[in-house]
Amino acid sequence: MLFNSLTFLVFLPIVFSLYWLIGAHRRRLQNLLIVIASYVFYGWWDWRFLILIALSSLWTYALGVLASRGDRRDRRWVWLSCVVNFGILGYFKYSNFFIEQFASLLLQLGFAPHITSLRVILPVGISFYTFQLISYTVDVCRRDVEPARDIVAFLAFVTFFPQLVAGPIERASSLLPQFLSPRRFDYSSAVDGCRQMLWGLFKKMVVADNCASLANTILKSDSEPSGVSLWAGAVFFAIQIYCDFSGYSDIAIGCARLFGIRLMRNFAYPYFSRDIAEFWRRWHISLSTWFRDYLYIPLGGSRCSVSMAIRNVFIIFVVSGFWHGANWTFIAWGFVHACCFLPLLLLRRNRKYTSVVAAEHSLPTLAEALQMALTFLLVVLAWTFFRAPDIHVAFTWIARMLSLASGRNMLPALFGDVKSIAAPLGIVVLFAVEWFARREQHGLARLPQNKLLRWGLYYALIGLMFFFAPSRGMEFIYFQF
Amino acid sequence: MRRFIKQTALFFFLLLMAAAALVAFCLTRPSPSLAADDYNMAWLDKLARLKETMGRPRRLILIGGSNLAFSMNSERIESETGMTVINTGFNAGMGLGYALASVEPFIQDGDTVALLPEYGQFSGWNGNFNRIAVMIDVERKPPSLLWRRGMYGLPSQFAEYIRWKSFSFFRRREVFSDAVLRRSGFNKYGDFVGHLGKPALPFKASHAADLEKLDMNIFRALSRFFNEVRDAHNSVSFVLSYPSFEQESFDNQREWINLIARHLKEMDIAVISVPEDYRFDRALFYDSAYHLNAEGRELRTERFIRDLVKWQNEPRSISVGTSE
Repeated sequence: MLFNSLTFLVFLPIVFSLYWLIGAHRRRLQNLLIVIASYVFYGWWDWRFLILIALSSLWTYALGVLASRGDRRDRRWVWLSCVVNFGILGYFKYSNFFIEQFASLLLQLGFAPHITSLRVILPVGISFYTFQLISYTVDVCRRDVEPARDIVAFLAFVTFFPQLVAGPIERASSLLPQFLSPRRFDYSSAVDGCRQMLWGLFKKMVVADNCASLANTILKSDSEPSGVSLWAGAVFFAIQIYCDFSGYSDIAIGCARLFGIRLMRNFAYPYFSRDIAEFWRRWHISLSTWFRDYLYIPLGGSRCSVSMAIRNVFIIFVVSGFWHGANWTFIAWGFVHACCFLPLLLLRRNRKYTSVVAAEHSLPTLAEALQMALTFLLVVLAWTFFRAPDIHVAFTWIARMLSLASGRNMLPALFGDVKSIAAPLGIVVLFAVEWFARREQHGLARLPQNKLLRWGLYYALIGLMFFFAPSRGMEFIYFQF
Repeated sequence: MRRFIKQTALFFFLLLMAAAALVAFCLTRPSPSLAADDYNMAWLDKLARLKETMGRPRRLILIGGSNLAFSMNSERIESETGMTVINTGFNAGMGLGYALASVEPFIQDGDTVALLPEYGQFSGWNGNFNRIAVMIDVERKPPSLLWRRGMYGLPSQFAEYIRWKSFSFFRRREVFSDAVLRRSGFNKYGDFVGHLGKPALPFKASHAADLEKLDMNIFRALSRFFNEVRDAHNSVSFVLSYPSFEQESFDNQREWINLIARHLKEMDIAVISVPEDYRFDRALFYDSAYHLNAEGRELRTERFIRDLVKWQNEPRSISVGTSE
């Protein structure tokens, strides 16, 4: 079920009403409703994979309980949980990649392997809920969190539908206790949640989907686009992926607030970053902090020898890229970011920008503007790897972009209809609103006190969505990860 | 909680009021882009020809999308077969369901109804918002009829129609209303001839990814339609042939085409052609993978006449296979 579908528009009010009709004093029943609703939400896409998510959840729950028996945490169960969860993820997401690489290696060695790829369907959101399950197990082992005894609360923690298929990847220490305690309806929080959902829907339906159409026209073109056209395509993709994913996160966080649940922040205006290190503190926060806590720091982080620190940086970025999918393009994307991040780490400038840009002013200084532009440029170049169908195409695109190669100028073809103003208009609204809200949690967090103005803005955003959203709702990009 | 519900209810009530006002405005105001010579208005001429030719013996009614409008020479079919040809092929987006429902009242005993739908039409019986645009803005039928023409997909199509109509107030001409694509470009048979002799326009080949899921209900709906017409008339024949399709697009969508051909073969209808016979080189197309130029149109017509005559002479010899 998509957030931007009519089905969800019916589904959400039903679940919301039932949830609060049950009442805060019947917490377990509320949790059960959350589990059932989440399974319906997930099963809407493909009910067969409900078995997989149920088995993974029950397995992890059981091992969590086993691991906590006695005074000392039994690490064997933790390892077993990790092996099984990573095994499932590996099978569904990476098996074909490794089979193909193996076949290609054999071919290079002079063998002619008859290896057929497996017909594996990638279950939606598997990377997200698997990482959540693994973090739970590790946290139990580290005693950061008590193992869940209430199985319904645990299932609600794993499957909570707003964040089930594309995050934020929650930590048990933050989310699980919320399902173990009564939730009270809070008017201001619910209203703010609705605003955040509205902003997320605007980002997805108006900006991301229209930018997707422009980016695809260029990047999927049969003719050879010029270097400038490729730059335009890459910029549109950069905005598309940001609005698509952060839009999803906004909807998820806002939706959770309607149920009295607080999810962690996933994006903090990453395109207003002044260097790559700041970008990574603002982009997909739940994943980057996951890798920091469960991979980077256990490896030694930056508090070790220079060579080990360099190794750790490359590991974390490459693994992060590989998390997105089984393709060399994602690995290259992670590698490019590692290369951009490393100088900052070595010069000890990686924590230089921890506050909001132009915090005391309404506009950035020239230096800040240039820093943001340069960071954005680097990020756009890296996205080119991410977007390309394979690594050869990525290098071709980069070469053509950097040399401003001649070719078909596709820009005039992009803007010929009334509806083609949607993407530029959406981008202007996006950056204007987010710039003025950069100190807040989301774009609509601080609005005028005047109700008429506020509601006028809501209706304007809904109007833009109605008129400018593509007729066929597009899936969120991160579902495929 | 009570406050939240009250505020939300008020918010959505006002939103609904605004939406109702917009819908009322769109339904009551004719689209300024639909001038008398607009391409879409040619649908009325096709319906008029269906009506005018009633009573004539041996009519051949061609039903399909724009592949028929652009890529068939009805005059030649008429002269070579002696049948009265009515080419109702117009716009695939109207949906097969709408096209059949529009033609059905004009079918009479002795007619031959030939279906040549685009492959993409097998993804949805009700097409897209075009059926609503044609019904309300071209045929000027009351919106209350919408539900009788098929509910499936109606909410999203209606929303798309309102969007399209709203935008049409901001542009002076409809997308289709360029110098070539005009009502006057059609001949009396219903063939579009305005593009003949014009230089070809660039177009992208169709890809497998462009296709939606095959809608199995279409085959059931087709069977139901055939049975209803056969019940009402004694001697109406149905034949099915395939659209003209550009070679690369055909190859990209071969799996889908084979699947359609396999399902059609299982139906109680004479499938008189094989898809491969209507796979043409890109050089024979005008502006899309379905629209042939003058040369391609003649070639396609020739093949269709061959298939039709073969079926007429030996109806039981028709044996259709796919390229698998």
